[in-house]
Amino acid sequence: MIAGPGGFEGPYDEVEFLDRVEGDRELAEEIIQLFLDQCTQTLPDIREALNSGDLGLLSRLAHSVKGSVGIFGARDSVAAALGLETAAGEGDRAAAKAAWVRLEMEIQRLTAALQEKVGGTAPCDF
Amino acid sequence: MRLLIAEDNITYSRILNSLLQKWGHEVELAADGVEAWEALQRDGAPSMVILDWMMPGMDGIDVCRRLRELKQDIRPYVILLSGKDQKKDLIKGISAGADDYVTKPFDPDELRVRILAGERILDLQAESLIVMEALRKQASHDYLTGLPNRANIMEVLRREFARSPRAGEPLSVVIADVDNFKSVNDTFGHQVGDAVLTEVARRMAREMRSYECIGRYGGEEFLAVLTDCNSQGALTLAERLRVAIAGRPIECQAGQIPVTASFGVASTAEIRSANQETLVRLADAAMYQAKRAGRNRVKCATHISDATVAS
Repeated sequence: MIAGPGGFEGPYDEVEFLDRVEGDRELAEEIIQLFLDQCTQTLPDIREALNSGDLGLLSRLAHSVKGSVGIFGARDSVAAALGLETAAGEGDRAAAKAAWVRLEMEIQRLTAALQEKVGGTAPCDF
Repeated sequence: MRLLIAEDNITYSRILNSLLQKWGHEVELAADGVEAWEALQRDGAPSMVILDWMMPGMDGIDVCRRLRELKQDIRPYVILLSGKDQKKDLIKGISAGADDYVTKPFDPDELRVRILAGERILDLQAESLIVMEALRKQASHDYLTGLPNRANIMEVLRREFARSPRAGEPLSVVIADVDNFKSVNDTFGHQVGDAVLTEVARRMAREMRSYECIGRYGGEEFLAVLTDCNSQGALTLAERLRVAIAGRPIECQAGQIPVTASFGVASTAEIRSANQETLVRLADAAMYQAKRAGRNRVKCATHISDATVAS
């Protein structure tokens, strides 16, 4: 785990994320929900691309995920997505597979934390 | 201001949309490069674009290049959204035509600043267009009368001469020359002379239809180019111009000055073999005939040998 600028440790950087939406909590919730919904489509798409060996598509999908997780300041997820994007981009299927394992793990951590914020057990306050 | 967000990632698109609207802008969305390109070609397209570097279909760089190739006075201001790992490609982006960039994931303050700077540049661009247009007008129009100047009216004639035969239409010219203008200047001075010319020009211009053109051809000479017009039509117009000038005196600081002009008309309807220069010479010759016949009248050139009768 990489510590954030304020020494923050966790799947994502709440301060950075809130700053990005200029403190708009409603917007923040909306973005989280959008991302969680997006994941339900993108993650299966990535698995499919990996299985079929479409590394070009895989690289583009990883790039898109990298962008999305970056919004939350989720540095570990960003690094994992970049790893997958690079491996797929270089045509290295084996490396891509390994990178996907790592990314899947990071995304699970991230979505769990975000889920808690918007509708899970934790109260919705930042 | 209206901005276009060209971003295929809907999460990003949503944040950008929300922020931009919060900052008071109108937002249009495009989900890929092709949509963005189409949006930018429509009438009333947004004046600024936030363009994602990597998009399906046509990427940001491609859109930039195409925009740069468009021959138009106003180009949208392009802010490229690039990933932190693409920094070394930024030269490529700017060379392709992007104006600025913001790295993802963006800092809202930074983005806002870049947009403000872009707005400033767009304002400057708009201002300079206004100035250019004014200069263009100045270069092609006569300062005193506001009419097209000689070069301009001759260009109109040249253009119509090229077009008319194709369209099967006759072309006519009218030359108007103010009578005794030299003595107006000598008697009342140049300031009055200028006022007289300005009023003569104004009265004649008012008689012209939108598709007819009159310009200041010489010191006290004017040339009108009449499209799809034969001698009869030209004679009718010339007579109307004559009456407009002679009908009532010109009011100026020296009092009321009666002014008249002599008119010469020539048409390709009658003189089919005439080229541009000949047509003007013929009209000129007819105008001199009008002068010799007593001034304040209209004469029409009927055949090509009239041109040689001039002087």
